[in-house]
Amino acid sequence: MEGSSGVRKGAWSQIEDNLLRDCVNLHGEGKWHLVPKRAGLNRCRKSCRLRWLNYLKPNIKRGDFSEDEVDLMIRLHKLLGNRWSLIAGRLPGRTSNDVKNYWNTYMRRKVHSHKKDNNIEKQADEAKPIVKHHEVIKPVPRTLSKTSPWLQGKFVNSSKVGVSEEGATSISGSAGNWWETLLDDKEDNAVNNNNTCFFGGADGEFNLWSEELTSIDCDFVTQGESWSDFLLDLQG
Amino acid sequence: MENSTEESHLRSENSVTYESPYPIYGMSFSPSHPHRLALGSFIEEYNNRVDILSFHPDTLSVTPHPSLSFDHPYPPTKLMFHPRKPSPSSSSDLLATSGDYLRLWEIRDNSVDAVSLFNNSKTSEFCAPLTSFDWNDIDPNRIATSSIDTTCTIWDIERTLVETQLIAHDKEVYDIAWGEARVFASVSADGSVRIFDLRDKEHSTIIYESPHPDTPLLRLAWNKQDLRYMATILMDSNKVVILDIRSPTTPVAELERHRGSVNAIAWAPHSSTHICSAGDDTQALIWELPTLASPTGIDPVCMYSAGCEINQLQWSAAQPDWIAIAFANKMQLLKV
Repeated sequence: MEGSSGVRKGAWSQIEDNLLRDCVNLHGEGKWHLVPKRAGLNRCRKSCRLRWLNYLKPNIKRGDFSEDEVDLMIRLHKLLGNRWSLIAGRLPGRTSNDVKNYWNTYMRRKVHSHKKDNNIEKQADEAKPIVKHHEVIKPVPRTLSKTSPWLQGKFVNSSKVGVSEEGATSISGSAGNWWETLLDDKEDNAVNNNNTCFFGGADGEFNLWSEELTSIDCDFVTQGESWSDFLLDLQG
Repeated sequence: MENSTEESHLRSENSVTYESPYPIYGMSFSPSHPHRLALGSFIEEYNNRVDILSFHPDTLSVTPHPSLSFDHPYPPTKLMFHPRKPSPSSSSDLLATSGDYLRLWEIRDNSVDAVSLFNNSKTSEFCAPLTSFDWNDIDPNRIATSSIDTTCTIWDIERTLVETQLIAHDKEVYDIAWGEARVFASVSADGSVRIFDLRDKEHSTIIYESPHPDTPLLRLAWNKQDLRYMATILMDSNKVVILDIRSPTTPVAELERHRGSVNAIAWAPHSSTHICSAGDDTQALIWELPTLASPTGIDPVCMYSAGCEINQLQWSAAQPDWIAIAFANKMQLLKV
């Protein structure tokens, strides 16, 4: 019956186990494509290999995972993900099958216990190997509040009859630069922008500030007030 | 009587209703297949569906495609078709969905394939659900996702890798929108609207903070016809806040004619001064923004009334005469 129906599947019998064990003891592991014939087994080589690695190998550890093993498994899983053979390789005597079953039975969160679509699961597996480490960037927020230099400049400008038109143009240009630069995608290098320099370094800030002061022609009191507001804005 | 006549007229000749077997939320018009729509179910369980429909404005009918329907884990928080035709020779369409992960699907003539799953975590024990995403229409190899873990993530679509991940918000990020190829903005439960420039990743710019501390901002729409303007909505508020990025912190307009919370906003794809909003008062309103501020407030130019709260709204770019709204288990197409 075995011969006529092709390669045998299903549970291994004791006789089959003995044949496989004798064959590996005699010829050693590896060359699994030769094992079925040598051992006289009507099994595919993959089935022979898995039977040996997961059940018949002499040094396989039985019984519950110890606390140390579980702890190591958790740390390895964080590092390696679902690569069970790599994790098992660092847990002496444990098979990849045991590690996988233990994890999926006890460690996986309930929220992930649902049955996933095969296609999605396959995609998930394929996606994992090419995941690479990346740094998370935390941009520093800028708040263009009403006390910002540009708005302050506008205010000063509108309240002083004597301010020159040239100064007004300069202020308007400065205010426009911020959003114009943002929406002007031709600029490949942001470092070239005055906008960035202005906020990027103390020297830049001071220089631009001085330029604005020169063009606006403010009196001392106004200058002091604006400067103070500006500092507060930086701290905020 | 005049109102009922007008409404009846609108209903019979200027609207199409599709009744779904389940509640719907996510919606997207396909730019490359002008008659195609995607609908995502909103069932508060793991098993959800995405359906593909065809809309025929000539016959005022909507046809579902059962062979293009597919299972989706969790309700999709956003659906979006590829902003352009993926390749000139192909008749396929690409659809991105967000939920537990960002996923990419290929819509063929008679089948749907799962193309990519975007996962940036080395371990599979934890994922941070995504609240929304936006597909960069200038550089379609980029998708920006927003997440409840406070991150904004920029994905490289072809390589399914993270290009950049940014944390600037203090709380959940609820929506994200591209302005330019390397400029995007986001809204958050921390009540702020922030603009990011990928050419200057060390800074973000706060252009609005909600007047009441910690009132979350829920949705963000960037005017693609005039990039100086954005619109956002606040949680449990009837306001649509219009922002000018040149005037930070102070809205240029607040549209306040809804009589319930606003749930969705969309700029007109073909006009820089029109915006549509929809909300819990069962109304979808179309506003025309004036060039000068009006002391008495702005009134909408069009009004539609649905049977119950409107949750989602999309303005078709391929057919700008049509708006889609979603309420309960119905999707309704309105001619404007």
